[in-house]
Amino acid sequence: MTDMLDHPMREAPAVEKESLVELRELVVDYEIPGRRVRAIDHIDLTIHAGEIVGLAGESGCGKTTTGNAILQILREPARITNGQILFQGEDLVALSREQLRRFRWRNVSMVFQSAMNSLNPVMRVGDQFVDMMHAHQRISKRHALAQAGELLRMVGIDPDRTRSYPHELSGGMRQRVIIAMALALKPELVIMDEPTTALDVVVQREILQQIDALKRELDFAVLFITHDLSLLLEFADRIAIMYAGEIVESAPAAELYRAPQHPYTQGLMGSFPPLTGPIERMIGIPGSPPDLSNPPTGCRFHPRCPHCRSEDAVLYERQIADRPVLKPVGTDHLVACHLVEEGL
Amino acid sequence: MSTALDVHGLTKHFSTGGARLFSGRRKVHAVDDVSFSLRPGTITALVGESGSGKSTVARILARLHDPTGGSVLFDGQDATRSEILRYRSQVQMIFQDPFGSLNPVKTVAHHIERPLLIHGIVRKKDVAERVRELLTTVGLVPPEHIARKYPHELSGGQRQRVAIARALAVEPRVILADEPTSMLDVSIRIGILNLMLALKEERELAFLYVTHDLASARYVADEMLVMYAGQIVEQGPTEDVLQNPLHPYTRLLLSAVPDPRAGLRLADVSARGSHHSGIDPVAGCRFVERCPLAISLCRQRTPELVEARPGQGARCHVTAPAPEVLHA
Amino acid sequence: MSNIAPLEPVGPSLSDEPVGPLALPSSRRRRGFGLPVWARLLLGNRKSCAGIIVFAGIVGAAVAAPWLAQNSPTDLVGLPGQPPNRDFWFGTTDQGYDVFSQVVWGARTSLTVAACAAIASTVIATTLGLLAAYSGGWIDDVINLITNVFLVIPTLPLLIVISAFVPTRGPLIMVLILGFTTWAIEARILRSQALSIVKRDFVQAAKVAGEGTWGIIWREIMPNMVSRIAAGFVFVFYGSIIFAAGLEFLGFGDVNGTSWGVILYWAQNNSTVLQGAWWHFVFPGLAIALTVAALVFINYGVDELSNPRLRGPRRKRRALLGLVSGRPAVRAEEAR
Repeated sequence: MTDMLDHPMREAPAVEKESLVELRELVVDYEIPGRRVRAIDHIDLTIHAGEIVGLAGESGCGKTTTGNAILQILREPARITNGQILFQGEDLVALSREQLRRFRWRNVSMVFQSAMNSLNPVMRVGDQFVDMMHAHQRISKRHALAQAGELLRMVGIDPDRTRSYPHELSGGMRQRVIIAMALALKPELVIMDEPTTALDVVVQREILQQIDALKRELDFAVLFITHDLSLLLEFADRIAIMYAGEIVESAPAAELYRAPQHPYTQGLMGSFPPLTGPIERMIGIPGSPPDLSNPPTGCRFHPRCPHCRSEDAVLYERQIADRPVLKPVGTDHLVACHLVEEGL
Repeated sequence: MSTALDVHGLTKHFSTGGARLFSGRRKVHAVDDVSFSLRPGTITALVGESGSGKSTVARILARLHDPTGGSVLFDGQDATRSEILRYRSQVQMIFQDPFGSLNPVKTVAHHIERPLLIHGIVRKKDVAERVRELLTTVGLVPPEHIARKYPHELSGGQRQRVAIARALAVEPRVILADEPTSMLDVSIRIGILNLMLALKEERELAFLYVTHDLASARYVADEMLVMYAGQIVEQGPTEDVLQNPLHPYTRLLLSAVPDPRAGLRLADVSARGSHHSGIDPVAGCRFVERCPLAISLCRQRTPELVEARPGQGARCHVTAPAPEVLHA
Repeated sequence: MSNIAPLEPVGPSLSDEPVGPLALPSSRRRRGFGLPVWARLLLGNRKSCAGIIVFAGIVGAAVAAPWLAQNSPTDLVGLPGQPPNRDFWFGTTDQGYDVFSQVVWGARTSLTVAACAAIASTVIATTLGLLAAYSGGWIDDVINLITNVFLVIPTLPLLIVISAFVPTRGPLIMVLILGFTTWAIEARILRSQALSIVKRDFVQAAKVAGEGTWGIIWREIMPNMVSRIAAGFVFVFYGSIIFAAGLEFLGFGDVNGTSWGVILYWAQNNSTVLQGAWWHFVFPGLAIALTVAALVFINYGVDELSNPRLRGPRRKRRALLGLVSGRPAVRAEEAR
């Protein structure tokens, strides 16, 4: 990758922020009669207050499952079989259903994939807000509608549109409505799962700008789940890269862009053709993500890794037998890779 | 240089529901006055957002839709009148959804055999051999093993390669690729793009690469066409269009694409208004609501595609004014 | 040929496991006794398994008629009016015919007529339904019009009217008129399903490859609808058994023939029930009921084939299933 920057991409947070959500040794299994598929395999992840954490990976890596796990909305046959999800120190896995119900949306909310298509087509937008608010607090309809109008204004939509039906709004506006709903109860964390994937690149940028402005105003943290690494490099404070159910690298965005350590991250970066600069032949990453019901032994990336060669016998033995663990390689930069461990 | 496919003034209108009592059905101008040429050994990118009409253009060229107006010339002959089987042996298509474009209950071999048999490309006894050759060409090895598989047993990238092999079976001159990588994982896209480049060079194919991703268009395409609201608003060699864009919409697109080198740019995107719906458009430029350069002429007259620089043209009164307008 | 090097080997290590709905075919070699997927499903579902066993028994009895029922159904072989006994398992009619023979030999006629009617009906319904869905436009409109006309007319009265006018009687006529009147509902259903398939890209891709209309209908669309067509076939099958029996009972069949409905006709005509000879009615009636019930149960299994969401968890591994397949059935819902 060409090196770039004289100017930093995003200002690193100056103050040490307290951790808002912490995943420790989290394991999520899909239990099917006859076999078990481990969708998430002992991951550790920390989200600080007011931070934008990007979770990047390709299909089947487990990133959506992670988001669902935090909100405890995993559906059968998926189950959390190990680990803790700490929210401000409290373990969510241990909460009762009633406590969870209060916790959801009030402390952590979510913007789902293609959420803009999940608005009720036969209800006005304002009424859908009212519905949602009634589920969480006692509030009069008039009051709720007023709040809905305020929320719409906050996301850049004319408050009169509370009277509109979803099909009367454009895709970008619908997505903003969804974001407004997610922010209605002023949660501390909003999980966004591919919020802009179905949108035009111009609208996508508008939405991201909107989220950024809202974040300044309301100070919430964001877990931004997407496959679009280039987006995260611009938008996120920290990025965690997931592969086959594991987190293989995690670093501040600028650092990750400057010096990606894990071969998978490097391969991913090498999969985005540049818009400026010389056009060179790129390679991408050969092969496909593994079948999680029968993942490769040792390092899960080893079948596709350009640095895994049987000629380097000793290293190769480790790569196919031992699972690499996240280890620090710089300030705030963690990598799970045998090569990096050996200093190669 | 000879051209494989010539498109002149292509127009396609759909009528939409919502007919009012006295005003009749409204028309969606999905494609309006689109003209370009596809040349052998060239990849031409057709870039635009959803609703710009780019997929419709591809489908008209694949003769899945009939145009409302304009013409498509293939080998100098009007394609819409020429014999369809012959046309299909020369112009093929790759679809966006790798899983949807394969029949779930048929093997890979079936998909590639059918065009071979329909067009009589090889004798019946040589079909299996040719299937294996095609699979090897697109990188699916061992071919005997893959040929027996069903689509759900393959990965997304593999399925798209099967689709490419199917398109290649008839030995076409033109391949229309409708967003072939947008539903694939990021790390697999490059492989498919590299395959397209290799095929272009080895076989002198003419590709139409329809996409919304400017970066991938830059990676593979020699020529670029930018579409907005059914019209081509800019065209020219890819590097020229991307480095020195003429049309304000092209500039808007470029500024909106995520580029890790810059931070979250807040000032560049001055997009006001919303995307033109293409329904019952009035005279004047369709981008006028969102354009930072708009002048009064822009609301009165629809701009023509004018070649403002050698080989590069745009549809804009301000950046690419028509000669008679300049002197008016 | 081409000298483009294969870009990446994507060989057998990737996905040997079929991922996706169970009814999709698999290229994997089957282990052991390995039955195809659909057979495993049908035998695995308790209801359809029972249905298959019962139906197989009835068909077996019909096939084995020459050995099973030694007496000819049309011969007067015994004293009239006997209740079931050791010589005549189902007793004799008021004329002296062997009811058991009549039922067993009648099974041949009833089942064959119903099967042929179901085949005719399914062929017409599939052809018209898929043609309408694929062609669209005026062809769709015309076929819809015809279908609607046939749908609106109530079947049994139509059957009665037609058979009243038809000069000859016999199995062939029965097959024709049954096939003629039962295709409409299936055509409508198949058209609906075909419409959703036609929209998918692989149909467009086949068109671009140069496939013609009928090639697309038979090679591309129809194979995706096999389980739904099969369910419709079974439905018309048992519907035809009932309709045929009904027509024959009313006297519109061939009253000199041997089939279940005709037995019932004579039973009613000669008022044997009033004489207390319940065996004349009950056994043919049971035959009809059992066959229809068996087919209905089989359709439970076929429904699961066409709609993966109906498949439930299989908690018990039945010995039969373990015997005939290489491994126990796996639940259809797969992890993402």
